[in-house]
Amino acid sequence: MDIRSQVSMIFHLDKCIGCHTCSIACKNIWTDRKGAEYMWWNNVETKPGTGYPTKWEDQEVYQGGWKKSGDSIELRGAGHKKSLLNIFHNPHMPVIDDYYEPFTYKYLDLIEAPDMPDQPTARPVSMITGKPIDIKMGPNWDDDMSGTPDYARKDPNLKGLSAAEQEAMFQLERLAFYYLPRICNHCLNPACVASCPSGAIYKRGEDGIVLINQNVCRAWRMCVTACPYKKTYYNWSSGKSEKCILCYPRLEAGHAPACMHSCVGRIRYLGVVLYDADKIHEVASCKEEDLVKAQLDMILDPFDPAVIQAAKKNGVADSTIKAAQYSPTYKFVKEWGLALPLHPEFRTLPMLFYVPPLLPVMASVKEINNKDQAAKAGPITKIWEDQWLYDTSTAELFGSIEQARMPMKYLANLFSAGDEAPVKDRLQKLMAVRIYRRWKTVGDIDQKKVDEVLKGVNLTYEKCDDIYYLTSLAKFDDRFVIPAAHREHAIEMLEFTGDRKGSTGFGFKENSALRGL
Amino acid sequence: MTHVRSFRVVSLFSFTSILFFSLMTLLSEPLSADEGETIFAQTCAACHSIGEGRRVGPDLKNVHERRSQAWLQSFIKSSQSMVSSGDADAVKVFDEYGKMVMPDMPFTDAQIASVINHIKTASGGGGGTPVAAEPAMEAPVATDQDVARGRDLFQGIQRFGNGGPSCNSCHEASGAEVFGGGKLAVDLTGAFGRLGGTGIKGVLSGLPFPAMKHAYRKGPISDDESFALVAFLEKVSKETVQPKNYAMQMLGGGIGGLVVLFGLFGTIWGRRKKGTINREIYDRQVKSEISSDWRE
Repeated sequence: MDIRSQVSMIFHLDKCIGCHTCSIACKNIWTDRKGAEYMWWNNVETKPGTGYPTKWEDQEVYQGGWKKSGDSIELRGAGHKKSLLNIFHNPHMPVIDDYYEPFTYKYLDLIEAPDMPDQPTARPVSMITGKPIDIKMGPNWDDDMSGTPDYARKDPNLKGLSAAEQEAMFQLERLAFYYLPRICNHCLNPACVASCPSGAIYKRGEDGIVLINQNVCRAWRMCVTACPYKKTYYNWSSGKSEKCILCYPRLEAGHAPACMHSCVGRIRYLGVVLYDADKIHEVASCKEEDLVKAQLDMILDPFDPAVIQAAKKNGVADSTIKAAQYSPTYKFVKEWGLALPLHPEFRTLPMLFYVPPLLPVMASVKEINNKDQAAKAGPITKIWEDQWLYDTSTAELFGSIEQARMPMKYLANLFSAGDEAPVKDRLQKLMAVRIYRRWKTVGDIDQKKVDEVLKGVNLTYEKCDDIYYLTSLAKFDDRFVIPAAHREHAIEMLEFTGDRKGSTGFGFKENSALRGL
Repeated sequence: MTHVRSFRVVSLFSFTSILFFSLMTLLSEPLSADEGETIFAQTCAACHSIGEGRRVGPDLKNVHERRSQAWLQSFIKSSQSMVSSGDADAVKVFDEYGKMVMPDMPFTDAQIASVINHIKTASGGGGGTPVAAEPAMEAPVATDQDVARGRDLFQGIQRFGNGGPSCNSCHEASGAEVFGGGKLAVDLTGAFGRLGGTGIKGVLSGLPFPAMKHAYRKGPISDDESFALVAFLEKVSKETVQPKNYAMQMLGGGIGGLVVLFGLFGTIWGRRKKGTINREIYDRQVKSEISSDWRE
């Protein structure tokens, strides 16, 4: 056993309101720079939709991630042999038009324009050329399913749905969507790290954050192709690739990452999990139908004495083990089994888990008799001629899941490599907690029925209370259990602490010549 | 003073009159056949015979009966200008003799007339047709040693007795065991086939080509040397298969190869990502007009 700790995240999709506050927080802190204008280390997509960059999930186009090769795995679009055969050509990269041409507005014109017959407007200008442009695309161009059928109907996750099922999804009365916020998954088997010819990308030992060393990066951009989530970006100004750093400077200081801290819906959770690194290759190479289960099995029980002992032996700090025991991620993923990884079929073992959204229920139209009602109406009352009712009630306990407007297969394509069973299991648990809470607060449900429901999904009253608490009432320290950074351990490994003390702190990073002296 | 002057006048007069009469003589009637014979032997005989069959050029027996005097005059003066002007007879002869250029002769009209006179005389008026084209067999049969000697002479491994330059200074004979050769003059690989032994011998002794004439003026090639060279060129000519002209095949192959190559590229890399996948959306979007009063 090779026990390591990993900072792992939960995004609760039922709570996401699609406000993009996370994206703006990230943009303001990290990517509001020259060369990074088009980057959104955090972005929020509307699903169904094509996302950002367009169709990032379609690996036929971008050739990202791993594919199974015999008993092992290989990178789909990169690697030594492929690189040599292509003479280092990297044709599957997204181009700027697959993202969008970054733009801003000439706001100063609003106040500095001379007196003219018309109101001044702030015209859009390209942040690449500085010239006025027609905005053609944005990072959330299909937000709230806006735009044309070019977006939602071209969602790669519609694969495997019959033409009739797809058509039904886009009928006006059944139309439904939800949001999918995305950051770097800080995978256990990152394709970006494996693809880098310079060895510039690494996974931090102490917390598993995947970083690009800006001094080592040589602009190969193999990581841009290899990351199936398209979460590494090339900075055209610095000539280096960049990606989400999970706000590690904030984490080291005990703060939550900016996107999580700013989240309005409080959908984001962050905590440490302990996993067995010896199993990475085996799990990443397993059969597609076993991927989800195998990945979740890698995450170990932080209360198990054997795990604690092995972790300590491996240099995992006591404070980290303690943080793992309080980790909201562990609870959502393992204890309650409510969360799933995004696109496990890319085989990168992502460490960002999503609680799938409880889908809007499909309503039925019932024939009713409105005549009595109409007779009561006064002379000026509007009388509805229609003799039907839009009915959302169901006879079955989990009937609403069966009758969801969005096919289960669609969610399964996103969160469980096409296997509907894990998604259904999560949704039933979420529904069970709701039924339990309705019994507790409204009381119009029979307790027997509640017991029956909870038994069916293996939950208890206590667990339901815990889920309810962490979902709806959780405080900051419950949502973000950030272990101490223990930078001292990392420093001790590199240099003598006596030298370090007295040589850092106040001073200049650059030498005097670089400061113009 | 007067005496001297009158002497000068007399001498000037007599000189002028001599010049005048000699010119009159030159223009009025051809020079003697003797001079024509000399010129023929020195210049023409390298390539032509009278009644001994064709060599490099045609047998000139009774040529005055086949062609007009004027035609002969101008052809000898400059055969190529006649060919290029499209004279049917001139073109026919030029084509028949392997497009071998007859050098322009720097002779006066009178000298040419004397040569034609000599041909008339030598033809003897009898028998219209020239003798069969096959040249007489060489008396001695060339041995392997002769061939080897010829090759050495050609390459300059063995020097010519009179100090003339080796053949491969200007010529090439590809295919034989000859290393390299000049590109200044014609390739002699097939020279034997074109000229025959007599022709080559004639060229080597008569030196009808100006450059060759200049090169071997002081050191002519001896008979046994030219015999060896002929033996060598005969062997080269017989053993060398003239390379086929592959120009059209090369072009066809190139075009065909290109099609196959592009087809291959298309099959291997046809599904590669080309440009943006949003192209369709972008192309459909309407472009706004940017007014001229837009302030940058």
